[in-house]
Order: sequence, then structure tokens, then C-alpha cells
Amino acid sequence: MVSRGVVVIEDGRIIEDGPHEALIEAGGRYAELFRLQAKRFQEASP
Amino acid sequence: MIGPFRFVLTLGPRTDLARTPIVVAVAILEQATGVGLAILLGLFSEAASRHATSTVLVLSLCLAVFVMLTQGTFIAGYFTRLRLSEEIQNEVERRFIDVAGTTPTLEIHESPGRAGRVAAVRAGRADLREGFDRVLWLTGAVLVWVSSALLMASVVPILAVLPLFAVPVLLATRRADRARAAAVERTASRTRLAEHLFTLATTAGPGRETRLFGLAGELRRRHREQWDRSGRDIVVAELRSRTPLALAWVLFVLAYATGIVLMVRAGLTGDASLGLIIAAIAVSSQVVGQAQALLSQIFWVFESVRAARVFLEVVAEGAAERAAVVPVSPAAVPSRLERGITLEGLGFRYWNRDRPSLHGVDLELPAGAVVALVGENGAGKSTLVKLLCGLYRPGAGRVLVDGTDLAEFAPERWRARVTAAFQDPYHLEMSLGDSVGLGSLEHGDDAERILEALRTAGGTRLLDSLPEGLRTRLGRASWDGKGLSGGQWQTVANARAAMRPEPLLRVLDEPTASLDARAEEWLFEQYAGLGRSRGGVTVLVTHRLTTAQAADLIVVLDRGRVAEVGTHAALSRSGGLYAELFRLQARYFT
Ligand SMILES: Nc1ncnc2c1ncn2[C@@H]1O[C@H](COP(=O)(O)OP(=O)(O)OP(=O)(O)O)[C@@H](O)[C@H]1O
Ligand SMILES: [Mg+2]
Repeated sequence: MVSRGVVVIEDGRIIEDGPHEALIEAGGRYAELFRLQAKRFQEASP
Repeated sequence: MIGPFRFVLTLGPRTDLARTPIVVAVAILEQATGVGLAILLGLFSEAASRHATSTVLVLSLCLAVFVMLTQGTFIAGYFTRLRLSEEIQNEVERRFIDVAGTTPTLEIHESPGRAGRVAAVRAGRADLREGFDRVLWLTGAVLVWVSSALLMASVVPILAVLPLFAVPVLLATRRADRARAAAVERTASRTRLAEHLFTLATTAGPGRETRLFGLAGELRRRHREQWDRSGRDIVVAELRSRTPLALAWVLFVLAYATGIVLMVRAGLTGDASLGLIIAAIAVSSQVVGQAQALLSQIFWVFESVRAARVFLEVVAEGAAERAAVVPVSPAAVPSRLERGITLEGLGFRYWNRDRPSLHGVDLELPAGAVVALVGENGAGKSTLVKLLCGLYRPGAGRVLVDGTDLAEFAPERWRARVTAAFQDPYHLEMSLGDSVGLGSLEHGDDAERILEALRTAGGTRLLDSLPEGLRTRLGRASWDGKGLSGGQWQTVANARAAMRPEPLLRVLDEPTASLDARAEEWLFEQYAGLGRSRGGVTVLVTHRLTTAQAADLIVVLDRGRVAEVGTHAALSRSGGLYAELFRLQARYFT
């Protein structure tokens, strides 16, 4: 992944912060949102 | 088309028949004061010179009553005049809504010169509002003028021609006014630009960009530049018409001076009675004021008539479009689609563009299907859906709805069966309930239905976050409501589009562009099932190809043409534009 740092904001507060891989591993909100989008691409790929 | 002057003249009685006579009386009486007093003065002198004490007493009484009457009417009528003007403005605005708000297509609003005309109508509302009053005051001024002339003519008959000397002044004023109007018209685009710059610099919406880029000074400079330039043009026009105006005025003043000399002489030689001469001279002292009143009233009436002319032009434009677009005996819009919507050789070019935005589009949109429309920026997707909605007429080809040409439907009837969330949805600043509920007027008060629509659009979280629920006032541009985030506004628009039950056509132009992944997923699941079971077509424009891939049919537009049509699987295999775009997006996720 190209992004080096991701900041996740919810209800006006930073809830997660770190590199993409770390956030995916942590399995928090970012991972959830990312998976939601990725799921559709994986389903669609032949 | 009725003439603009008649339009202005009939605004009063047409708007409020009861208030009109009061306003007429006020306009006439108020101006009659001067002449009335002059006549009473003449009668006084006459009676005094004959030592007729009882007549003097009666006259005093008449004087008191007359003054009470004129002043009293004026004071009492003031609010009536004001109210009538306000009502006229309301009436004019409603008529404008009737005309501008119901044009069958949007084309007319984008046609050449239209923005200028509409700006002129907006700016001219005050002139229209005062038009009726101004005509009355002009009438009053003319009456006063004529009675003064008659009074003077009864002393020295030749003075009957005196009003004729006002004619050159009137002509010169009229010419000056025309020249000024033409100059104003020429500078209208500059004035409009200045207005636009003013809005940019002073309102909250553009305030982000203007602050971020530090634009206030620059906008101010440009604002000034536009005004200075248009101001120069107008001043030049005014200067040019000043000489004839001055000459005409000098001629008039000379004539009047002669008139007064003649009257004084008639008095000295005893050709006329003392009272008459005193009345005539008293009137002549008011003559310059009267002439000025007359001139300024004429000027103001011109302004109102001009405003009325533009207004009627815009009205006529709307009527002409209606006549051209709405079929005389429209075909019935089907209650559900059996076959679907067919596009045959569809082409469209915006009037101010060289190249067509759509060209030779042939498509079958089967009833019950969800059709995804994809393609790069400017490919023609939004244009195509606007054509389907009947907001533009095809330049070439046809749109067939179960075999019937869309042009054969009454536009309102067709649109009553269409629902849409557009790419740049307008922020309807109303209560949340209204902003959603207006998507279907007949169900606009049905809270259950509004909540259901919000649920469909994924707006439940938004609703929960607003303490006043559906009654929350939205938006900050037109009132003191709650500001929403970009995605929340989009959700409101999506909910509005979900209000209409079983539409024949559902257009969703980038409905998820501002939505977060979860909201998008929700909406996606809602719409995936919607179109199929019903007798309608859902057209979904999207750059998010995962949304497109679940559609029954994917249409790829490329520079106004259909590049590919097929299912996700077929298009992925064919290795064309769609496959390429999909791969670009998917590589980050797979
Ligand atoms: N009101 C308009 N007047 C003139 N030209 C317009 C107008 N609207 C769009 N166009 C032009 O028509 C072409 C097609 O525009 P359209 O909005 O249909 O593109 P689109 O496929 O929806 O693009 P996007 O993905 O950016 O929304 C573009 O070249 C655009 O510049
Ligand atoms: Mg678009």
C-alpha cells in the first residue's frame, strides 16, 4: 500500500492512527471499512 | 401578449380590487393640494376685496376641510399604498414562479441571454412593485398640470399652449432614458459579474475557498473594476443626452417666465378679476415643482414599464416553450413498464458547445432492470439521464417508453412517474421532513413514509443525531438551520428520491460519491433488489465500479457514445474500457 499513515476520525475524535497494514491487523474501524470495500472487488474478480 | 404599460396599469386592480380606489384617491388628492390651495387663495382675495365676511368664513371652513381631507387621506392611505405595493410584488413573484418554475425543460434556462433577462426581472421587481403607484402619481401630476394650465389660460388665453412647451422636455427625457437603458443593458453582464463577485466575497458557502486562497482583496478589486467600467459606459450615455435635455428645459422655463409676465400684466390692466389672477399666479409659482414632479414620475413610470417588458418577455418565452414542447393531446403514461425504455440514435448537443455530448446512442433498458451507466468524466452520463427525465429534448433520435415516444407524453405526467437523485443535488433548505417528503408531494406529510425513505437511503443515523428529528431545520444559506456534512446532504437527496412509490424510471446519478463505505454498502443492498421486482427501470450512474458490477446491465459511455454494453462478467472478459477501469480500482483491494 502506498499510504504511510491513516487517521480515522469518529464523532469528532481520532480513534485510530497508523500505517495501513497496522490498522488492518488491529482489526478496528478502518479494517472494517476497508474490508467492506474490498469484499466487493474480491467477489467481482473472476 | 398584453403591452407592458397595460400590464403595469392593471397590476393594482388585478391584485387587490378593494385597496385600489383608496390608492387612486390618495394619489390624486395628495397632488391636488397645491392647486386647491391656490384656488382657495383666489376666492379668499376675491371675497376679501368685496368685504364679504360671511363668504370668507365659509371659505375658511372649506380650507380647513380641504386640508384635512388631503392630508388625512395621505396619512390614512399611506399604509394602504404600501400594502398594495407589497401585494403586487407577491403577485408578480408568484406569476414568475408559475412561468419560470414550470418550463417543461431546462433548456430555456440555459438559452442565450436568459441569465441576463432573469437577472433583469429579479432586479426589476421593485420597479414592478411600485409601477401601479407610479402610474397613478403620474396621472395626478398630469391632472394638476392641466388644471394649472387651464387656470392660467382663463387669465390670458394664449397660456393654454403653455403645456406644449413641456413636450420637448418630455421627448428629451424619453430619449435620455432610452439611451441610459441601452447603456445599462450593454453593461448588464458586467453588473451581473459584479453581483456574483459580491456574493462570492460575502457569503458563507464560497467563504471556505475565498478564505483559504485569500481572495477577498482580489474579489474586491474585480468587483470595483466591473462597476467602474459599467459606470463609465452609463455616464457617457448620460452625458450625451444632457445637452438636448438642457436646451428643452431652457425653452420651457422661458415660456413660463413669459406666461407669468403676461398674467401680471393682465392683472395690472384689470383684464381679469383679482381672485383669478391671484390664483393663477399662485399656481404658476408651483409650476416648476409640478414640471419636475411630472418629469420624475415619467422617468419612474418608464422604469416600471421597462421592468414589465422584460417580465412579459420571460413569460412569453415560457409560454412559447410550453407550446412547442407539450403535445396537444398527450399520450397516456403507462402505469408500469412491460418492455422497457429504448434509446434510438439519441444525440444531444448543449447549445453553447461545438461537439455533441451524446451521439448515436442506441440502448435497450429492460423493464425491471438495474442499469449501471459508467464512463469517464464528461462522457455524457449525466446528460443522458437528464434526457431520460425529459429535462432536455433530444437533438436527434428518440426515447421510447414501452414503444411510445417520450415527446408524446405531457412532461409533468412523465416526471410524476420518475424519481431522481442528481449528481449535485440541490440543498433543499427546509425541515428534514420536508426536504425528504417533497420527493412525493401527496405523501409529503406521511411521517411513516418519510422515515421509511430515510431508512432506505441509510439516513437513520442522521435522523438519530438530530434532536428535533424530522422537524430539524436544515441548511445555513437561507435560514438559521443545522448545517449538514456533504454525505449527509447526499443522504437527504437519496431519501427524497426514495419517496416516490414504484417509479417507471429511477435515476441515481452518483448517489454514493460522498458516502462512507458502510452507507454505500447499505444503499447498494437497498437498491440491488428494488428495480427488478417492479415495472420500472433503475439507472445508476457511478464511478464506483463495485456498485456497477452488481447491475443487470452495464453501459459504458465514452465521449458521448456507447462504448460497451453487457454484464460485469462479459465486460470483464472482453478486456475493453470497463475491464481497464475496473482493474485500476481493484488493484488496491485484491
Ligand atoms: N449545462 C451544460 N452546458 C454545456 N455543456 C455541458 C453542460 N453540462 C455538461 N456539459 C458538457 O457535456 C459533456 C457531458 O457532460 P456530462 O455532465 O453528461 O458528463 P458525465 O459523464 O456525467 O461526467 P461526470 O463523470 O464528470 O459526471 C461534457 O463535455 C460537459 O462539459
Ligand atoms: Mg455526471
